[in-house]
Order: sequence, then structure tokens, then C-alpha cells
Amino acid sequence: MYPKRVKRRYIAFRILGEGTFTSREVMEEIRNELLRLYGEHGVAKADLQPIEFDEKNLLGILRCERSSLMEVRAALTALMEISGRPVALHCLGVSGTLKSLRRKFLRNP
Amino acid sequence: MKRCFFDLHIFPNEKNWREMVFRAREFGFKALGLTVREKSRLRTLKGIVSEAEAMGIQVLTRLDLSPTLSKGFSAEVKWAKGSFDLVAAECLTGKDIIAAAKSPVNILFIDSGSSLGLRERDFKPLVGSQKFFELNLSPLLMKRGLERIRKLSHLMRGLAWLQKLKVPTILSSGAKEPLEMRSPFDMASFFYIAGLSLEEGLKGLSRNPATLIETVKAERDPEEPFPSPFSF
Repeated sequence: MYPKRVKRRYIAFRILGEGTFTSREVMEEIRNELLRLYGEHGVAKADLQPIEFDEKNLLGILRCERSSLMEVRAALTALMEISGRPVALHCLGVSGTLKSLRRKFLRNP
Repeated sequence: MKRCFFDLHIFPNEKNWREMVFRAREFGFKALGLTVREKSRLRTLKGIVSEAEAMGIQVLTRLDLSPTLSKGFSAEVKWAKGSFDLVAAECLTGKDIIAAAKSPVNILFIDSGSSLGLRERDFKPLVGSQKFFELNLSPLLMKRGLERIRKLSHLMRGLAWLQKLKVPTILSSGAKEPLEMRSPFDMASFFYIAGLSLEEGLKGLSRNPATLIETVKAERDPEEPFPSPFSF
């Protein structure tokens, strides 16, 4: 018997704040925030994966489990600083495919 | 039909108000409640209102009063309602909630420094009172560790009672800085962790504040123009 197909969601976000951040720093802080809110089980269940991060425009895409979407969005909202610098993360949109996410929210097909 | 979103609780100052108004517009809010805690700051607020409205956002002036600290709370609320669009009660204790429920105040919320864990009996005076209970995001974002755990725990219990007693809730940012502001969907997503469904959260940012504004408008003398007219 095969396991069920995993359903995922792609989230486009923008960092509001001053300074530059690397993809690694951003993902680490998002994971830490999710860890603070939902614990290790929550982080494991969300299966967070960075897809891309534009360091110049501070725009990023990450992937998560569909069932953990709201938890990940809550963690993005709760994030207040990255590497000690104050920020706010604004979730631009969510989609089931990368193609439609880019088309709808990043205008970059 | 497209939803209209409202953030009725932000604390701008002379330095950051432009950025806060700009960010609110960018996030898709239709109206903002610019809040002060002292009546004497009304003049400063009025100066901001006209400029903010020119930036393309509807603005309501709001005063937060504390039933504990105010002398003659009800009389003070009545006076404030003549000068401010919205008047809110910042409650520290269950007694404050009872005092606020008896007064003509429009909104009640729990002071961010309060460690008050509300019970069913604290919310009962609000049933059928046509007052709105406000939940602010900023105090939850600013706290870490045990303090946030305690606040979230109080919020979850409070929300369960509010929903059971059918007290209308509104969600606001309570932001003092632009980076404490969040978009309507982000705010609703955060309150989802406290047990509020996404739909209920969005209602607390759109339909419920719209009803509140309509109620305030209806309370006023029809001859007197409401400072920030709305059409929903």
C-alpha cells in the first residue's frame, strides 16, 4: 500500500523592514517562530521548505504541508525580528502550484 | 462583493503616522481608528486626520479611557463622545468591564499590561449591550516565552466565552509602530491559533467594525455630520 499523496501549499511573502537578509537567516527565524508557537511536532508536520528568496526585493516563497498552512501563516505573522533587526512579514498569497503563485502574486510567470 | 477592512486601533505619533497610514492603505484597510489616551491630544489628531484622508484612507478619531483611572467614568465617556468618533474602555479588572458595560462606551478591550484571565461572569454584562469586545494583536506579538503563553491562554479562554455568549468581537492591531501592523488576512491567521476560524477572524475585521461604525453614526444627531461618513 502506497502512502497518500502529500498535498502542499506555496506561500509568497515579503519582508518589511530595513537591511538585507539571507535566505538562511529568514528560514531559520521562521522555523524558530513556528517552534515557539507549535513545538517540534508542529515544525515537523509543517515540513517547511524554502523555494526561493530575492535578497534585493526581500520577496520569498516557501512550501509547507497543506494541513499546516494556518499554523505557518500564524508563525509568519508573529515574526518580529530577523537576526536582531525589527521586521514584519507580510504574506502576499497562497497557492497550490508555484506557477499560479508567481502569476497571481509576484507577477513573474 | 469585495470586503472592506478596518483597523480601529492604532497609536500613531507625529513622526510615524504617515508610514502607518501608508502601510494600512497598502494592506487594504479602508479605515483606521487613530487613537489617543489623553483628551488633550485631540488637536494633534485632528491635524493628522485631514492629511491622512488626503492619502486615501478614511479616518476615525478614538479615545481610550480607563474606568479605574477616570473620575466619573460615564460622564467622561459622554463628554468624549461629543469630540471623538469612537470611545473605548481599557479594562484592567472584571469591575472595569461592569463599569464599561453600564456606560455609553462603544468598545471594550483588555489592557495589554493586565494579567486578567476572564471568566464567563466577566463577559455576561456584555450580552445584549450592543458593545463590541476588541482583541488586539500587538500585545501578543510583543511578548515572548511565558508571558505570551499566559496571554494566549487567556485569549483562548476569553474567545470561547465570547463565542458562547455571542458577544460581537472586533480585531485590531493596537500598533504603535508601522512594523507592528499586519494585513487583515495575517491578523485573522494569527487569531486562528487562539480558536477563531479564519471566517470569524475576517468578520471581526470587516463586518463587525462596519456594524459598530453604523451604530455610532445612528447614535449621533442626524443634523450633525459624522466626521467620517461611510457607505457600505
